[in-house]
Amino acid sequence: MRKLFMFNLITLDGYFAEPDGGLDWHNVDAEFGDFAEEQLSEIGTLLFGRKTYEMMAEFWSSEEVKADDERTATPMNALPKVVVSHKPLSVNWENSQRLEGDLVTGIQALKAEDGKDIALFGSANLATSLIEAKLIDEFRILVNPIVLGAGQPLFQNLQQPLHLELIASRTFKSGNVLLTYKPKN
Amino acid sequence: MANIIATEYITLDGVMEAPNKWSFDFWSEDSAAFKYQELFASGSLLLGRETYTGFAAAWPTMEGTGDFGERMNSLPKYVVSTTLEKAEWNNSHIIKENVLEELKKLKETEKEDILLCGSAQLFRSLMEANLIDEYRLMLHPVVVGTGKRLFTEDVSRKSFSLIKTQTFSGGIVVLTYQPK
Repeated sequence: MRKLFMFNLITLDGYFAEPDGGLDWHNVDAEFGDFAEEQLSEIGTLLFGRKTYEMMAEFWSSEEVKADDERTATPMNALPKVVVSHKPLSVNWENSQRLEGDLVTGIQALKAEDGKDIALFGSANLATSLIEAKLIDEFRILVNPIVLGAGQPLFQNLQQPLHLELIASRTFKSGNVLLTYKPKN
Repeated sequence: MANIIATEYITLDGVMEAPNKWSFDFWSEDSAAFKYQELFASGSLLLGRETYTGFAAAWPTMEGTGDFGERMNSLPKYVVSTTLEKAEWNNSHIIKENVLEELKKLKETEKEDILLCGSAQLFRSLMEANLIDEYRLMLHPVVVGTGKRLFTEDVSRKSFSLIKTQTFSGGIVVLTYQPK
């Protein structure tokens, strides 16, 4: 059984992206780069909702980004990707496939496979479904020291409150704080 | 000279409303000690009408609150409201007009921290006016889904410097920031 964890950079007002999806507020530096590289080395599968998948595909496929941030771009492009989408994928990104059939059964099967962890980035709608199905084993929230005023909330339309247990906290020199939680039972 | 310190209970989805409904599960001795030290390091409370009204109805008669309760009741309270006629909780003062000017004066004359608690609307006005010197966000490990949020869509983009991170045994994390 492998772990499914969610990882996001969020603002103090709880957004993971600007209203138009913009991420230029990401407070990243070399220390973050080291962290991201290490985290990627523990990932066997990337899981996405359709919108985040399309955005990430475009971003990480760009030659400019590949050259600028090779150590993140190389694994992001190479890792197997599973996409939850109601319609066939319109964007081709290497090593991607659409999850077939029922969501819960499909994710359970993916978790039952051998290998490194499954990571969910962004994908707020999918995250809501997975939280409600109790399929997320760990929440990694990197709080950036900024208020945006408007944006896309990370946690959306949950029908029940979600209670978590803090398992780790790490402060970065940049002012980011990584908070790691697991669901409380 | 005194600083305005904003201390806020919030959830992971940014809700600040009705902490009595979601904060108790995470309370622990170390987080209580933090609130105690904070209150005793402050010389006055700064409150908006709603938070003031809630506090004024509860604190004077609440039992078993010890010297924390005594200090809540004895400290000077500054209430910002254009509509409140009377503020009967012990040692309360209403600020009705020229709020920003009055608060700037207060920062000049007070000696100890002025503690802004809850009061989300006042919090946002003072944040926009750059009158808050320190922000303490007590992040509770819960997503509640609904309720009034501390930061609403009328605030403008702003960056902060992280001063301190404190974690408590019940899972609360206090993130302390100063304006950049």
